[in-house]
Amino acid sequence: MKDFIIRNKKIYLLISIFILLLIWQIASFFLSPLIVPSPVETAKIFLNFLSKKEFWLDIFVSFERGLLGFFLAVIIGTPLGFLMGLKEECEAFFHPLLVLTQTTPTVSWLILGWLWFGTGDGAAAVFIIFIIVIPFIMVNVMKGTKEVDSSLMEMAQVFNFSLRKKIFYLYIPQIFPYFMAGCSIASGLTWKGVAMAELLTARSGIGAAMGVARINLEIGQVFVWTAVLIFLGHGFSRLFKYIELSVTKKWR
Amino acid sequence: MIKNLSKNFGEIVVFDDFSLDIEEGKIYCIMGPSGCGKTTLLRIIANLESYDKGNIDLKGKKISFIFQEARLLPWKTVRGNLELVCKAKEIKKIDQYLEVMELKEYEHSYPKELSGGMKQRVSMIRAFLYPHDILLMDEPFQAIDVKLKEKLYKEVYKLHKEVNNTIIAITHDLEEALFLADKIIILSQKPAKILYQASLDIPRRDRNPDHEVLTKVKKQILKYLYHASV
Repeated sequence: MKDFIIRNKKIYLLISIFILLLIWQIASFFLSPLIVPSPVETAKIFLNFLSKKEFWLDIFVSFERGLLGFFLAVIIGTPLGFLMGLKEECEAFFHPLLVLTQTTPTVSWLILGWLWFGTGDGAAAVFIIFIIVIPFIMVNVMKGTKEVDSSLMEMAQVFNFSLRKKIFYLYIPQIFPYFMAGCSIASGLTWKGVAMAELLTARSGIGAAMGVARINLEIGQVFVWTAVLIFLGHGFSRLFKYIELSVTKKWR
Repeated sequence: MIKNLSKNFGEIVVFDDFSLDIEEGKIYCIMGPSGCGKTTLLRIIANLESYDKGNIDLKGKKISFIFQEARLLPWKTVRGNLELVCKAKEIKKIDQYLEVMELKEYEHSYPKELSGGMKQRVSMIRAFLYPHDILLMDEPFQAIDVKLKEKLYKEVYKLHKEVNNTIIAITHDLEEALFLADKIIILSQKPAKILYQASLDIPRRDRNPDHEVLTKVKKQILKYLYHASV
């Protein structure tokens, strides 16, 4: 019965994708290829891209920027979130930083990043990703820290756990799922952010390539790049969930 | 050990000028109506709870605790949980205790794979492994089935003799108290006072249900327990 339901869910997923493709195909039939290229045409462009060095180079450059910004946000956001979860004073102190990164429009950061870091080297894109990702890491690590089981903390107190033991055997395992959930959401946003930042501030990478495609009215290329971004965003999001589940599976 | 202890939870007075002397190397069983502050008393002794007035003097003695729930780390195996509380040179003891508690074949299992009673036995092993002088137990046999219970009383008693600790146990189970205790203490409703104390100087092997003195003590205790709960 359970097997049947799972298979059923997958069938619905496939039907949904099929319908979306169908709508796309029908739309392209009625509209000019300059506005909506057909799925087949897009696939052709994609296959053509696969053999081009520039295609992979642009992906690599964007990938590098996204990863670097993400990594910096994790390195800085994790200890901050931990402190915020541990001490209310820290939470109050870093709260404005959180609000600032969460609510300031991305365009504002884009313009600032562009002014501060200039174009060409992609530093602005790294900066934007850092800003986009850090609140998710901070909030999730903070939540995870606050949710640490007080009955286990008491146990650790009675048996006189050292700080090292508390961190490795109490805090890290309990924060881990929250941390990974934060990474999962943030990684979905990272690749959108990279492309947007590159469109406005860089000369290389997926976003810059999309800018060129726009100028040349190569709408099919825009579609291909979009597909690449969807793949990256969704793929990374799933990857983090997968890692989280496979690590915690043993004890959950 | 406990002198003139007072403790309030807001408006509720749990202890008011409560004193209790604990003799080293003995087993104490504390009984009383639920909600009378037994658990709070253990938590105060273990420094998990603050108190308002009075004096708890442990004379530098180390505390170990068997909680009402097992409180094992879900992400550590049985063995992993045990290794966290003992020094490297005591690792050998883990095997011995696992054997005694009939858990040897589960040493590499995670807590989720164990029944409630098994988890509780792991937490008992943990408490005995941790170097201590005073062991506090909060209804440790609650989740354990009747057949195993009696065996475990005996094992706990043996371990108590082996590590030579003082045990303060909360229990609702009179049979358990009558087997384990050197002294049974009956507490009243809040604010808790000592209603009755019984010293049992009968060797454990003679403690069978129709032992004359035990039967008398049992009647007394039942009377006091009944009074305390109405």
